[in-house]
Amino acid sequence: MRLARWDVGRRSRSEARPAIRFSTRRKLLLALAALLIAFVLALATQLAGLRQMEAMFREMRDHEEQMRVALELEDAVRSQYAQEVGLARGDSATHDRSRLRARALMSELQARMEEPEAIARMNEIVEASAALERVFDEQRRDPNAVAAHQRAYPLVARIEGDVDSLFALLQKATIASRLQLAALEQSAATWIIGLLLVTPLLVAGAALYLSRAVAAPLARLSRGAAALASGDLDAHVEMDSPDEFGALAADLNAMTLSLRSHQARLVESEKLAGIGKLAAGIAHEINNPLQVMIGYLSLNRDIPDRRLAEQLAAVEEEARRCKQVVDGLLELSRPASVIPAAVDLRALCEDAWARLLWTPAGRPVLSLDGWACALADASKIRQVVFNLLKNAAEAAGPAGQVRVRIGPAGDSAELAVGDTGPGLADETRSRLFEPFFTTKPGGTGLGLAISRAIARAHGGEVEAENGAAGGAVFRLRLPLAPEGRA
Amino acid sequence: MDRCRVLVVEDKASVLKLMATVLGNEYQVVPCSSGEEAIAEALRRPVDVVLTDIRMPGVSGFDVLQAMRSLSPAPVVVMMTAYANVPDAVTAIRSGAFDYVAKPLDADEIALAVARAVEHRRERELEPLPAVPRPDAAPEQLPDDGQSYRRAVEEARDQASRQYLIRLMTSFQGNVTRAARQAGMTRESLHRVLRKYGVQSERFSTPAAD
Repeated sequence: MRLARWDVGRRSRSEARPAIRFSTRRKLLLALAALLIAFVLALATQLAGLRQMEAMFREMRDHEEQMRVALELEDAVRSQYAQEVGLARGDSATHDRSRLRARALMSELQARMEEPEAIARMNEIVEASAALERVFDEQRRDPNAVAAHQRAYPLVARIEGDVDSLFALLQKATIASRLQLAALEQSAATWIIGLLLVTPLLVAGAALYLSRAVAAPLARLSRGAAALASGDLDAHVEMDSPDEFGALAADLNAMTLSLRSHQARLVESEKLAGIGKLAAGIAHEINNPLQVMIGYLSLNRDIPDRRLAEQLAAVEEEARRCKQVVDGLLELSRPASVIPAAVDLRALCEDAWARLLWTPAGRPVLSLDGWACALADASKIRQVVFNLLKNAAEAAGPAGQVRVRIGPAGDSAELAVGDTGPGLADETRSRLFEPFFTTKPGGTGLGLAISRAIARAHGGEVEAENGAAGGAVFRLRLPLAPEGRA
Repeated sequence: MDRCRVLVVEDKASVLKLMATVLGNEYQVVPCSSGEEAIAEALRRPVDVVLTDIRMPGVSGFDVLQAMRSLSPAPVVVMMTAYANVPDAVTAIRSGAFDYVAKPLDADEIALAVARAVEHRRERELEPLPAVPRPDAAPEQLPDDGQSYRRAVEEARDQASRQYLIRLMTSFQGNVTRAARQAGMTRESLHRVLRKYGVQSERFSTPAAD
């Protein structure tokens, strides 16, 4: 059974997705609402101006009508006066008609008057007209009375004077209205010109805002995606705006990161496949000469010459080491399959420690903490733990200490092996897991490469870092067994 | 008793010479540098044990195995390889090979492998049944990786070797000298092998010694 690969798609902490606090939808609505409000305001202002102009027109028309009525009234009064002769001849019907006309015109004019001064003039006219009527009535009763003409004339003159001043008043008002209208027209024109000038600016402003808020980030995202598409896995879109674009940029960056790690793994596995092919060839070519060497050397184990026997034993040991290298290469390149079961990491660690051969100088002290149960292939993981412990013991030296911490870490069971050695140089750390990379005089450089290959075949990982208190720390992470979960 | 006739088939002359040197004292070794030569030799005169390399130009070790299986009496065949892998091991055992060993082997291991084959040959002489594939030696459907190979094939071989040593020591009641002569090994060689497989010769000595 093969376990699922370690989930590399996980978002790293640095690529956390920002919360969408000011969405693009809100930005668009805001810009459009600003434009709409500006237009509605301009329209309302113009509409109010138009209404004002309309009222002014009506007023002017009224005044002109009043002026016409006033002139007619003057004419009617004059004709009333002129009828006096007719009245003297007893033609009262004609006189009555012109009196009724004067009365009708007067009441019409009175009804139209609004200004206090005009009303005062109008009242005078009404008074004078009433006096005139009385004069004519007297004349009608006494046709021989001669003085009527002399009495009526000043009244008519008064009425004429009043009508004239009323006319002048109305004319003045009309001129004022016309001036006001001209002013209104001017202001409307100014408004329209202003709007014509301001509207493009406003629209340009809104467009600029939208382009900054929408188009520019979109273009940057597009550039990032294009860079990614062209194979640039270092493409990074720097954008932390609290909207959808920021979120999309974070997603894009996370995707790039995950692609990068996938590609790194792919390159590594291709490298291993290449090593595998090579290893099979090497195994053929090396194992036959080794067979001859080891065969003859082992035939001479019992020779009496102790010195020569020792030398041959050393040669045999080295020949066996060659065999180990070839075996290690084959193992590294073969797709490791895993038969997982619950594995007590603590017990496994104790077992592996017990298998470590110690030098005559002694071996470092082991301090073992914690417990966890991993879902793994015990024999393979024992090899990994053995490698890690062996490395740590060698780094710490006989007087040092090896600290093992075991425990669950998220979804994984973790076994961290720390030592009191010199720690890892940066250059060493980056190449540590490459096949044949070793810092030890007698090492094959395959132990950690094999350990990592085994851990990854489990869906786990082996990583190296420097401990806070100095020395190196190697972390083995494996899937947590159901039994090991809290 | 006649010396056993052991055919060694190997295209590398140096390996062939080593095998002849290691086995020459105890057995009648017939070195063959190709599969064709081995088959011709086996047809000419019966052989007891065939120790053959797998990858050889022309006739391969598997072809040699097929040819030997068709003979009567069929010799016991031990396959050797410089590139041990599970599929080959499974094929070898299923095709009727007695053993499958990975090079390099030291002299003790070579002697032990041949000794076991010779023992098997003698047993079959008493009970002449065709050898059947032994499922314990190569479990089915083994994934091809180093771990499984070691676990399944080598552990099974180690177990079989240990069983053989126990049988040997039991039949000679812990007498290493006589047991070594029987197994075609030197005393020192057998001592080393016994130590390696954790078999204590003293435990097989007769109670009369107590």
